[in-house]
Amino acid sequence: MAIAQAVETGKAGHQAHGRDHGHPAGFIRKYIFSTDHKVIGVQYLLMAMLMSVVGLGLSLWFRVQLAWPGKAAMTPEQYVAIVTMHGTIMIFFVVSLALSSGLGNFSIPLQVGARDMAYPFLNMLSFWIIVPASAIMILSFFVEGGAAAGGWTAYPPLSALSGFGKVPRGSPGSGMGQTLWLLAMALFIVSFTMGGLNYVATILNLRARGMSLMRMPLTVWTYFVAALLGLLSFPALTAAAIMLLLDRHLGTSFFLPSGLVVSGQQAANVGGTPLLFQHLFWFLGHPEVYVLVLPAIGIAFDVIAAFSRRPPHGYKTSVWALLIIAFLGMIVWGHHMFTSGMNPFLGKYFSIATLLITAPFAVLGVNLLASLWRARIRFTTSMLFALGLISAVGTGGIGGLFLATATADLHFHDTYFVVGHFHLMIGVVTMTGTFAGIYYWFPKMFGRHMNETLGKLHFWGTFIGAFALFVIQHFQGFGGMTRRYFEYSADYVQPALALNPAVTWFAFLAVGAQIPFFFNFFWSMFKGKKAEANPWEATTLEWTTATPVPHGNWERLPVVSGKPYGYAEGANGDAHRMQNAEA
Amino acid sequence: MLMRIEAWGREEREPVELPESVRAETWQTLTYLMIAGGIMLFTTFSASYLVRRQSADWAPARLPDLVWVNLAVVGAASVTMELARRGGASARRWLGSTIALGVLFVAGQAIAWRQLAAQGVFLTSSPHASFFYMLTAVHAAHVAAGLAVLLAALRRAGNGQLGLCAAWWHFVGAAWAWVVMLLTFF
Repeated sequence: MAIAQAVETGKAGHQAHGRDHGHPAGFIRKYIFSTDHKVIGVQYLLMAMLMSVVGLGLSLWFRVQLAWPGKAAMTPEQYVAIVTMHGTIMIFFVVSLALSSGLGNFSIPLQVGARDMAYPFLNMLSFWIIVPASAIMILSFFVEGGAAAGGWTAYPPLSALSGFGKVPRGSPGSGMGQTLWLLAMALFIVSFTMGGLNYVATILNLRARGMSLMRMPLTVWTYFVAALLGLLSFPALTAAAIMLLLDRHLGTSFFLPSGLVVSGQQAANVGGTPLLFQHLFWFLGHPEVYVLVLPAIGIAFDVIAAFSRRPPHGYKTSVWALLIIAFLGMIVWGHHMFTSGMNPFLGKYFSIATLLITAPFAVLGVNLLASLWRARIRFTTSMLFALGLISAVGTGGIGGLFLATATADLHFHDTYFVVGHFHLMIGVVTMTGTFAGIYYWFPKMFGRHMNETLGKLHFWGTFIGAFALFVIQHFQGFGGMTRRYFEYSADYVQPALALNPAVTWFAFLAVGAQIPFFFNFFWSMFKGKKAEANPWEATTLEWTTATPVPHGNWERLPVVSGKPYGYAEGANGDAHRMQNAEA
Repeated sequence: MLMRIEAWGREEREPVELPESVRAETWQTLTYLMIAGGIMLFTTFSASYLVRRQSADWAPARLPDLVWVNLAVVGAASVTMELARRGGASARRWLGSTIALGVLFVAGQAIAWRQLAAQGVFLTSSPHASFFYMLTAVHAAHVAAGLAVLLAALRRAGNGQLGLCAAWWHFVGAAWAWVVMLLTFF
């Protein structure tokens, strides 16, 4: 069998590498243009941390405007640009990079028992495409007209009104800023697609001997499903982006409708359908939520198993739930567009299909909770974040029920109810999962522990701040506070606006809580308590190799002999059996 | 930090090599995933086309007859690719023929563009024309990717590992057949 050969060749390969002992590759090959999945994983994490400074900084800036109008020194045009860039950066350049690319790169080969990704060079290329993508996204602030201001969803007509040729200019940010936004996103899609190809090929073809699909850790399962979802849904956005670029720069009318008058200028475009873009965008956009949320849940399963000393409840049902979520996730995009005037029968379909997702999601939630039942929980920082994730999945998920119901959504659409809901899901669930993963794998990454006191400070600040601010936003949405507004004047919204200073203070708390995390991350690399090879007494394969992990990951590739979670059930929860333990 | 990750980079000279059989499996996964992605891309464009054609300004342009010739060329290229895939002494010659037909196809597409432009039909002339130019360009990019892979295969032809190249090439051919049907009959 191919995998068995890999074991042998891996051994031979390592011996071949042995010729290079004592001749370390240069700094650039080791740390800059490295093909090692672990280095690339950390590079992604560092890039995400850098981009988070920008993304979170922008959020505080516009939160000041919302809480104390006029005090934030920005124009309305700048406000929408800042909101647009906050959303884009946080979703694609922070959460995607840290959770999907960063932790995925680090953990997948180690958890499946591979020496590296299937295509290490492609992996390196994926990262190095992200670097110019990030730079272009940031630099777009400094071009004429400023950064893109069409929202992170880049809906036309606004995003298509470029001001080039006969196409009128929609807003200052609709010019070069939006072009650079599209260019950066195109590079991101290329990188993310190459990463997804690598993940699937690694998981399908490079698993260690004995690692059947149903013996894979749930983290790997979630990355696998997420990668497939991404690969099948991103082409829709690619097609939309191509048509949008043609509309913007070459005067086609895919999305720009007839009779468009902008600042007194009649556009020459005829017959385009802006709604088409919305369909294409959300055909990617909704699966993208699961691309990000599912791996966070997968990490929580692994972390909760290690710190509750019990196998996750219902492994098989969780796997099936993941697959069902993936399938349903591809066919429910229209629930983002209930107010677009769609046929009521179509709305009913999208409502029902979306509500159906509740069932497999409830399976995941119940399995996460049931994993804790009568467990001897170790309250590490990583575990606290995993528990926080369960809470966020529940709370955010309930908001989703309201929005999935077309009749309710007609009221909530484009209000802060939506903002609160998606921040709980795509912000809090994803980041609690990411932090759980970082605190969990940090000892394997760097051979040292992160400081637990600072970690708990980080957790409580993040959790209280983020939870409070996003839950309050639900109530502001109930009160009719619409999103993307620079200022409000209507009387009915005043009670909701009165909550804005509190929301902003909680935002400061949540963002401020990242300071101890940043300090902890870098300080612990050098000064943290030294970690053993398996400090958490966890049972999956990454804990069977030395720390720091050698190049090629193992001297001899592991042979899997059992399930991933060999924690003893029953009263004595301390016994554990590694996944490669001999029978 | 560098001290901590020192061990990862140590010994690194080349990426970890995989045995040929495993490498063949990863190529298979990669190729089929790319075809799946390609199908999603053309499906998205097709759906967009079917939506856009509902608008009042829809006026299909008559496509140059050359697109049918090009369809025959890409069909012939699929046949020669299949003959190359089956191996044997003439595999290399069939592969070379496939590449030649692929180049001929791209050249034919360029001529079709010129013919259409000569009739005064440009990218912005009508939504149908926009789709024609866009779809042919996107399709040509897929053909170019296929040609690059075939050229690489030609350099080391003889080992008979052309199954995945053939899969991509047939996908590209089928995609063109679909595009022509879409632009002509819908």
